[in-house]
Amino acid sequence: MDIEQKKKHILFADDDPVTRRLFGSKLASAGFEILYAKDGNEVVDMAKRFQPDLVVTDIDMPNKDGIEAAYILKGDIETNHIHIIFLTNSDLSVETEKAMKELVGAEYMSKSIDLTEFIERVKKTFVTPE
Amino acid sequence: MAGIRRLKEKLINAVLIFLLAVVFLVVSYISYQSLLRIDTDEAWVIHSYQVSTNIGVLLSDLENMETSDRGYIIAGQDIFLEPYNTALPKIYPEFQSLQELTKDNSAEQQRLSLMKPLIDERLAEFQTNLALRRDKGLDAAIAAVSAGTGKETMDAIRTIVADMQTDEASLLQARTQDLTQVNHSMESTIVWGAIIGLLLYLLVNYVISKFVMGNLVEKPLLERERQALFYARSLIEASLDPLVTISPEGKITDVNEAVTKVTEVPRGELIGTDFSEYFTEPQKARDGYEQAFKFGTVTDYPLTIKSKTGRLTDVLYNASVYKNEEDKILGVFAAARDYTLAKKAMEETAKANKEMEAFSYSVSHDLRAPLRAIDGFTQILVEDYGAKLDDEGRRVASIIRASTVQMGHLIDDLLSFSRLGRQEVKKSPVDMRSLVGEVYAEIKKSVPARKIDFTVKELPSANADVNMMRVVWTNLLSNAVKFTGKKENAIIEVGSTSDNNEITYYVKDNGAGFDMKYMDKLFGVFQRLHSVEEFEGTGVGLANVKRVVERHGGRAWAEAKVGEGATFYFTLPKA
Repeated sequence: MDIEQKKKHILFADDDPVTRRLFGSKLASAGFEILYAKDGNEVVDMAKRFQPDLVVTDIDMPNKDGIEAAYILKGDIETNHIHIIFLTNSDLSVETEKAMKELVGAEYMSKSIDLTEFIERVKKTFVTPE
Repeated sequence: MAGIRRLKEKLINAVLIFLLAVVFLVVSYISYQSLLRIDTDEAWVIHSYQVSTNIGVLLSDLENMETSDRGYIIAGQDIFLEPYNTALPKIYPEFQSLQELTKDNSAEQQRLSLMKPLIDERLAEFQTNLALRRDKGLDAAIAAVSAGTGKETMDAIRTIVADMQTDEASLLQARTQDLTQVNHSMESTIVWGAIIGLLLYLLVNYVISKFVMGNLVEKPLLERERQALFYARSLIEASLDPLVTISPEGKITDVNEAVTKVTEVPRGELIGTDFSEYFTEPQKARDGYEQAFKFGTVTDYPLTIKSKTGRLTDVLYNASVYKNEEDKILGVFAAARDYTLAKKAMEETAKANKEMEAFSYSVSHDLRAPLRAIDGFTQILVEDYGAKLDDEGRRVASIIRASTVQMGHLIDDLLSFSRLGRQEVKKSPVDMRSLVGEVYAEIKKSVPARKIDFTVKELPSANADVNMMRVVWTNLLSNAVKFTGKKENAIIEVGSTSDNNEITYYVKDNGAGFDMKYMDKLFGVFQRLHSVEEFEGTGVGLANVKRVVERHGGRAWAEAKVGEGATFYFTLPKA
């Protein structure tokens, strides 16, 4: 609603439909345009095809996991500008989280995050230019 | 008690042996003295005989001379002078030797001195008579003999000789008597000495057999003793663990039934054989009992028993030396424990634990997604459709959300607990002092209004996993902060003590404390000693502390009193 003139597109990837629906509906009601992916392959394909403004992806997914997909996106000139957020239930050690940020430039959020806080942090990625 | 009794026995024994020795010495001394006396007495007897004999010889020589002298006078032939000439040179030497022999006898000496002039006179007379016969003829000689004092002189000599012989005879008798007496007393000394010695010897033997050998010599047992022995033996035989005693030479001296089973060798064939020959590694077996002899004990010494038919049994040996009453090492007592099953069980437990970890991790992990959905959709329900709900509907929705939050915490804690079990322990030097300060500052931020008297004493660095140590301090300090929440003047003290092997850290508070009878529950997962209403929490914190500390090779425990506070301790081994 506050970014109505130019709706930001978000590619949301998770193999669990309930999770997709939950976060999707929250993001939608926050005024974003949502695309859904079910696995890592779809993330790479759709990111290339639709050029979303942000990829929010799960890590544990079939075919290609989130980290692998992120590497491909970051290694491709067409997609390496797209911001990536990992949204996962996996416990990442402090070191892994740091490594992911440095190597992939991706942020990490727990799926247990409060939904309001989640929306805040997503919005923040657009306010602060990377 | 036994020691004192033994000492007494030894003393009695020593005294008896000493007495025995004294008796033999006394008997020997008396016998020796007697022998010496017999020697002297015998010498005296011989001496007396010699004196009598010599004096007799002297007299007979003189008489021979007299006879020879007369014969010459009568016959005028030189042939009659032969005995005279033979005896003449012997007279004085014989007299002298008599003087020598009777030196110690003044009476005899006196007699001899009386005899000397008589002999001189008689010899001179013989000489005169012979000269007269040769120069003046028979008649002159006979006249001289008849006129002379020859007979009186000779008679005087005979009287003296007879006196001397009488004297010597009486001396001889006295000496012989003495000799007999000495012989008798010596005999009785020897006989009595032998009898007393024999008695003492028998007594010593009796004492030795009764007290010293008493324990070794078979003797009739009291019924109670017999039962006690049977009981002891039956316990040994009842043991399922193979039990063996080994001599210092490494020979088997006793076994129980279990040994015959595990080796498949009958008891009789086992005893006296080398202990080491029943193992797959004989040298290792030898090293084992040698260690026991050297250090007194060996524990959990792994060996593999090889039976007659080749069956292998993995065992752990516990062996220690056994001693007699005098503390002398008699051998090694070795008990083997078959741990084939235990080994398998341990492996299975480890596997089960691992599976359990994986299970709890995936369960808690997979629980999160639906929980997230319940919470998320309830939130959406309240936010987007709240207007359509009445007050009760909104209250129910908020209960659902609160419950999911609580469950979320439980899952998070379970995950962290599981993670602490799986995670590799990465040790590095950890500055405990700054870590404690950092963790406390973080905790204090969540309760800014609280007034807490927080002190940190001496805290040495430790070689540990820094992230895991953060978990430990976070749990202990947040507990201390939490349970002092109802105190006006909360006091929390962190400190340590250390010895050669480990450092003991502690966190002490003056909070709610707990009843020590719940101590065993304290460090369990989801164990809570206080209600959630009283103090919030899931009850995983201390389980995490324990898990981390144990993974570092330390221990964790607590001391407390209801209403007076608690002190939590954990140790870490020194690097």
